[in-house]
Amino acid sequence: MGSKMKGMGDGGGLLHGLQGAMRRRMWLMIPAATLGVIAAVVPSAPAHNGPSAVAAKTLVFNVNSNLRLVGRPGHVLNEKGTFTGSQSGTIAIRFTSVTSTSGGATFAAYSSGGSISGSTTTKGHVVGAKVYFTGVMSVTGGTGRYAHASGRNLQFSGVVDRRTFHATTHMQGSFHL
Amino acid sequence: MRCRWTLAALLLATMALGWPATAGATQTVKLSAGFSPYRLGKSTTLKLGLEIGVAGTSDGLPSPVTRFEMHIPANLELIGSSLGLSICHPTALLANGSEGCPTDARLGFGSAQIKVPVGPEPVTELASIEAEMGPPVGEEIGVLLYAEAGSPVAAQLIFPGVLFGGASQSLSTSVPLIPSLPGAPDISMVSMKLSLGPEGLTYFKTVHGRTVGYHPEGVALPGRCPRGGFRFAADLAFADGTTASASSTVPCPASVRH
Repeated sequence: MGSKMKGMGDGGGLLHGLQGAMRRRMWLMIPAATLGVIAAVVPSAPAHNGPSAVAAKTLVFNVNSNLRLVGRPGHVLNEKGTFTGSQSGTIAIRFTSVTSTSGGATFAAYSSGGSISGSTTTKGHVVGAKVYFTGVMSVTGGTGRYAHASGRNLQFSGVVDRRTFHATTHMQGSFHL
Repeated sequence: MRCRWTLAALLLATMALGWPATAGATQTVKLSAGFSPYRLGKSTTLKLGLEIGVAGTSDGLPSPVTRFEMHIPANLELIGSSLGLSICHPTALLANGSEGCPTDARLGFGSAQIKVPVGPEPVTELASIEAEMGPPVGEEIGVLLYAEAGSPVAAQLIFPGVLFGGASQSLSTSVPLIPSLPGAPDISMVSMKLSLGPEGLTYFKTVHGRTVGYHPEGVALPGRCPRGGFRFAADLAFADGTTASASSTVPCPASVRH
C-alpha cells in the first residue's frame, strides 16, 4: 500500500487549486526562544569563516494541521486545510490507506515563499469513529525558496474522524533547504 | 476411569439415537463472495457465504466449526467508510441483544444454518447473525458476531473476531462449541451468509436538533480492479481437529477485465 504513494504539488487538481490561495500566505518564522515550538532556520555548518562557508540550511518545524475532506470518502481521502505552529499556511494531504500494518499519504504545504511536498508511511488503528495513525515523513521536494528541500524520518501523526472525515495531523522534524 | 465410562456411555447413546457418524470425516467448504453494488471506486456491501459439508455425502453432519478466518483483499479498507462509528461492548450485547448496542456500531448482518442432532435425522435451525464493531483488540479492529437462534435450541452467542489489517487483511473469528442436548454432540454449522456494508443498515444523526436516518458509507472498492480480480479465501478449523480451506474470486467487471 505504501507503494501507491504519488508525489503532490505536481499540478494535480486539488493541489493546483490550493497553490494559488497559498501564495497569499506568509510562513511565520517565530523565534524559538519565545515559544515552545521550535522554528528556526539555522546553519548546519560551524559558524566561522573558512572553507566550509557554503552552509546547507536546516529548517526546524513543528506544526499542527486541521483538514477537511474534499469530495467523497472512499479508497483515497483527499483532505485540505491549514497548518499552524512554527510555520503556518495551507496544506493538502492525500491518504491512500491507513491500516495497522501499513499505509501511506502524500502531502503538499504552501506558503508565499514556496511549497514543500513529500510522502509518509503510516501505521494506524481504528477505534470506533476515529482512525489514529503515526508514521514517518519524507520531504521530497518543493518550489520557490524550498525548491531544494529534502529530509527523512520526520514525525507524522494524526487522527481522522470517520463521522465527518475531518483530520488533524502533527508534523515535526527538520529538513534541509 | 470415570471419564472413560462417560465417553463410552456417550458413544452408545449416540449410536442408539442414530446420529450420523462423522468422526474422522473430511469436511468440505465452499466460499462465495460478491459486492453489491459492484462499481469500482464506489462504496459497496461485501457479501460472503460459506457452505460446509462432509466429503462423499450430501447430508452428513460436519464437525462443529471452532474457528474461521476470512481473507479479504487488502485494498478494501475501513478508513474510507463510515461503518462501525461506535463501539458495542460484549456485555451490553449479551444482556440486550443488538438493541443493547448503538445503531452505528452495526457493520452488517446475516444468517447461519445449523444442524441440531436430535433423533435419527438432525434438525435444521436458522440463526440470525449481526456483526458489530467491538472494542479494539490491541491495534486491530474488534468485530463481534452475535448469533441468535430460537427453536429447538434457543441460544444467544457472541463470536469474537478480529479484523487484521494490512497486506493480508483477514477477519479471524473463534466459534464456541454450542451444546445441543445433554449427552448429544454439539451443534454443527452447515452454512453462513454475511453481509458487511450499508445495504440494509440505517444509522442516525442529529441535524439541527432533529434525528435523521441515513445509510453509512460502505467500504470503497478501489478505482482499479486488481489483476485476476478480488480474491477471497476462508480457512476453517473443526472440533475434530481437521481444517479445510476454500477460495473465491470476484472477477473484474467485464469492461476492465485483465
